[in-house]
Amino acid sequence: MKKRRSKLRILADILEAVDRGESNVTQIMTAANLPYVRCVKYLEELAKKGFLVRVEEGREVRFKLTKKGREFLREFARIESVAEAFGIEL
Amino acid sequence: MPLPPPPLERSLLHLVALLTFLDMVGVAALLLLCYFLYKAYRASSIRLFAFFFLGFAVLAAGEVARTFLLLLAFVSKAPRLLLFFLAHSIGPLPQLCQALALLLIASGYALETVRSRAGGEVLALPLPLALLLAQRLWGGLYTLLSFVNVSLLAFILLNAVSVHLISRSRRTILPVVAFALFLLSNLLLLPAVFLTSEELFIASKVVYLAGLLAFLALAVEVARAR
Repeated sequence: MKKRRSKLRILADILEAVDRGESNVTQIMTAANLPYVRCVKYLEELAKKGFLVRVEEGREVRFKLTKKGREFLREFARIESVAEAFGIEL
Repeated sequence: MPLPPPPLERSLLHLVALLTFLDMVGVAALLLLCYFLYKAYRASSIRLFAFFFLGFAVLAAGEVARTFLLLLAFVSKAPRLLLFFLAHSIGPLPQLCQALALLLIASGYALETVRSRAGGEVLALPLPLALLLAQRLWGGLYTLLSFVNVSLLAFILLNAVSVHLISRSRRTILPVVAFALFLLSNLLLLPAVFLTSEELFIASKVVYLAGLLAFLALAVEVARAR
């Protein structure tokens, strides 16, 4: 049985996808393995918290990682490594 | 003019100074690990992090008490009889802290086992109830605490090994090494107390400090994670 990801992991997966260059909703939802509605909800949450910035280019909406978002990813890497050391699943 | 201390006493003083310094390094390692575990708990709200954080915080408190005792013995001009009584009245405190800390860490591993039992990925080891009862029997019995610590460390080590067998990464081997050294240290402490052997006591202390260095390596590894 596949385990459910925590919210923290999902947010990190979205930010990692954006950091890799996936910038529109379709690319992000595929990379982060999320349905459209949930992906949009999390993207709005991340933009509201200042981890992502929303850029409108004509009819297309793109997302870019902010400095705060990059710091969150660095912090998540530390959390992930300490969790791994003690066998805690995120 | 005061006489210089005899050579044997001087070398003993150097040893105490070295052990105190290494104790401080150990405390720094534990506090750094506590900081990362606390941050992980705040960010994720996963209770298991809180168990590990509290466990390492109590372990650090025990180390501070131990360092304080060593420093007191090092700098004090008090009569040796007073130091003897002081050491025997406060002596079990670090042991008690260690037992409590190990109980918290063992609880963390036990809860993680329960959490991931559905996946069957972690070796299922129930926390022995006898250990919880043994915790309550403490009445200044240093030896009993050592037995409790050995049992808890054996439990923790088995869990750490099972975690490592699943992931086989460098990060998971460090807790295995640290807890194995802690266990060895406590195993050396038992004959050291029974045989009143200073050599075994010092060996136990050195092995324990090596365990703390393994945790320092882990803390550095976590700090460098990208």
